[in-house]
Amino acid sequence: MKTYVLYGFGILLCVSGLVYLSIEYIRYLSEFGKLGALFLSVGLFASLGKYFQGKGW
Amino acid sequence: MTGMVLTVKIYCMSTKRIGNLWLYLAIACFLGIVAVFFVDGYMGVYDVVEVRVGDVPHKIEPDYWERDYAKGDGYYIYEVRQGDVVQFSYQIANRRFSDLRVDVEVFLLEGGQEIKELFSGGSRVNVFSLSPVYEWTVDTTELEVPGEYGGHTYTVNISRGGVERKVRFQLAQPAKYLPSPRYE
Repeated sequence: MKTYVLYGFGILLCVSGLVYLSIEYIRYLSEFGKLGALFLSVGLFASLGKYFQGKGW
Repeated sequence: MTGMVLTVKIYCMSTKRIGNLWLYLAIACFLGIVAVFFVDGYMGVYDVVEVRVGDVPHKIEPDYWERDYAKGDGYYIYEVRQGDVVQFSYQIANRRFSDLRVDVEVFLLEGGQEIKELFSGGSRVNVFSLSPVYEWTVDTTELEVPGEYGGHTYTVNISRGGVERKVRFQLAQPAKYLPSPRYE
């Protein structure tokens, strides 16, 4: 249980970090940068989904 | 028997590794996003123009100049009337790993013709630091008196090593205030 709480905390930090970066710097990103960040975001959430699927969630 | 145990052990390890592989991939993606934001969004040379017309401030952030319409026409200020003093301030942020030498030249233009030099100067901006704030003013009383139904459009052209920022304003006549109605 403690492990999952830590996972949840980590995910919360990642998401809040992404939100902060998006609010602060997305205006200055080039089109390629935006596209790259979009692909990486999809990869991030897909990987997390697969990870938790493997854990039996 | 030993071989079987070894096979199961290897299988368990590989399953665990594959399970963790997704976690590592997620962390790599997160770090990649942070890297993209830092390199593409944060690093570079950015400038902020602040214009104050009377008590009304206009802050033109660096992202404004990235828009297509801003590249051609610049920033437009509507509420400039003759008699107003238009104050400008300009600051450059050097977010690079090398020093930056900036030379700023500012001209006032009307119809594409330079009519006055407003500012000229420069300095060296250190790594990841801000330049001094460059300031100048446009005293509209010195400019041509606008007509009753339309004014002259002036452009303040800020140039810095090939980069140009245009702030345009149409000078109108001073505001006329109607006397308050009397109720008798």
